[in-house]
Amino acid sequence: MDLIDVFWTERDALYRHAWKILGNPQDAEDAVHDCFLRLSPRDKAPPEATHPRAWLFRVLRNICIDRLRARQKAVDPGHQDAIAAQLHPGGAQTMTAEHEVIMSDTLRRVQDGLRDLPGEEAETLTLAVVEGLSYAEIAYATNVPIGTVRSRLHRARRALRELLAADPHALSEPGA
Amino acid sequence: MSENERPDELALEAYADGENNAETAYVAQLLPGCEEARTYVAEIREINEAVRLLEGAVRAPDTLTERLNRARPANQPARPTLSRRVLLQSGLAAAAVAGGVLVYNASSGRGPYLQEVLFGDFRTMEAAGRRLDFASSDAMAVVGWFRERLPFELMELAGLTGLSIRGGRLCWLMNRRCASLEFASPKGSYCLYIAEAEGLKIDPRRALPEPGAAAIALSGETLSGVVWRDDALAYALIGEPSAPDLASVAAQLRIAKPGGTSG
Repeated sequence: MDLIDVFWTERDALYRHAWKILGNPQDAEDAVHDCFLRLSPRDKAPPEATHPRAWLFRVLRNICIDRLRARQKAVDPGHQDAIAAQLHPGGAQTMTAEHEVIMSDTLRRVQDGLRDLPGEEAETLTLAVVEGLSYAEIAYATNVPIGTVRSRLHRARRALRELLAADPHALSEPGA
Repeated sequence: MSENERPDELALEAYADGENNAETAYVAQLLPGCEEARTYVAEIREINEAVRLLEGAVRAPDTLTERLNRARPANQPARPTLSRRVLLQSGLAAAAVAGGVLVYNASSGRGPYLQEVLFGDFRTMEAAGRRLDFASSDAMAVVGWFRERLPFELMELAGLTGLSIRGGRLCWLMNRRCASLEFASPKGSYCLYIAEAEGLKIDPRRALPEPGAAAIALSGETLSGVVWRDDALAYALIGEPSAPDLASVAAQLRIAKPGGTSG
C-alpha cells in the first residue's frame, strides 16, 4: 500500500483531526486537500515506513499549525507564540452540533470536559481513542516523546474522571 | 495482590488503549486478581467510549472527496464519495483499516488475543455495573442504534427475537469498532460481540474458524464463550452460561444473515 492509499483510507480521520485543530469544517477540508497535494506520486513507500499513518497526521498537523499562525498573524501580528493553546479551539461542541449523538449526562460532562482540556491533551486523547493511533504513532505525529504522550493522556483522563466523579448520578443509562 | 504488584494507572490506561507490549501483557496477567484495577480499566473504557461517540461521527464530506479525486495522480483510480461509501460493503474494509486493525496482526505472535480481551471486557463491565450506551428490550431499536455507528452491517433480527436483550455498547476492542449486545437469561448474562475479523486470533495457537465453519468453544474460570465467523465478521458470545448453552444461542443467531444496506 503506498502513501496515497493510506491517505484515502485515513481521510475521515484526517478530516476530523484537521477540524479539531482548526475549529471549522471548511478550513479542515482545505487543510486535508493541501496535505494530499503534498504527497508525491513517486512515494511508493512512506518516508517513515513504520508509521505511515502517523506521518500523514504529522504533515497535516503542520499544515494546520501554519494555518493557525496565518490566522493569528492576521488578527494580531505581534503575538504568534500561542499556537499550541489554539489547538482544539471548538472541539467536540463544534462537531457534535452538526452530528447528533445520544447525549447522556455522561456524554454531556465528557463534552464539557473535552472543551476545557488543554489543546495538546485533547489532541492526544482523540488521536489515541478516536483515531486508534498507537502511543508510538502519536509520539511521531505530534513530535514528542512517548512519555509525554502517556502523561498527556493521563492528565486528560484524570480531568474527565474528576468531572464525572463530581456527580455520581451523571453515570445514568443513556437512551433508556 | 500486594501494593507492589498492582499495575500503575498509566499501565492500566495503556492496556485499555490496546497498547501491545510487555507492560500491557503484565497488566492482562494481573487484572483477573485485582478488582481495583479492573474498575479503573472499566472507567477508562467508559471515558474512551464517550469520547468516541462525541468525536468519531464526523466523516470527510463528498465535497472533499470530489476535490481529492480531481487532484489525484492520473494513474490512481477515483474513490467513492461518502454517499456512495455508506452503500458499499467494500467500504467496510477501509473503515477497519482506519481504526488501526492492522496493529494486531496474526504474524506479530503476541497478544492481546480475542479470548483474553473479550473475557477481560466482560469482567470489567461487571465491575462497572454493566452500564450500557443504549438500554432497550427492543432488539430492533438496539440494532437500529448500532447501524448508525458501525462500519459494518449487523445481522437481521430473526435470531434475536427469542432472546432477552438488555441493550448495547459500542466498544473499541483491539483497535477496532465492536458492537456488544447484552442479553439476560436464567443462567446468567452474556454478551454478543461483533467485529471485523481481519487479523484476529483467538489465542496464540488458535486462529478464528473459517467463515461458515463450526463455532469454537472457549472456557475461563467463571466465564464461557463461543466464537465463529461469517463472511468478514467475527462473532463471540461471552458470559456466565455454559459453553453448550451459548452454542445453542449461537446456532439460533447463525440462521440470520447480515442485513442489506441501510443507506
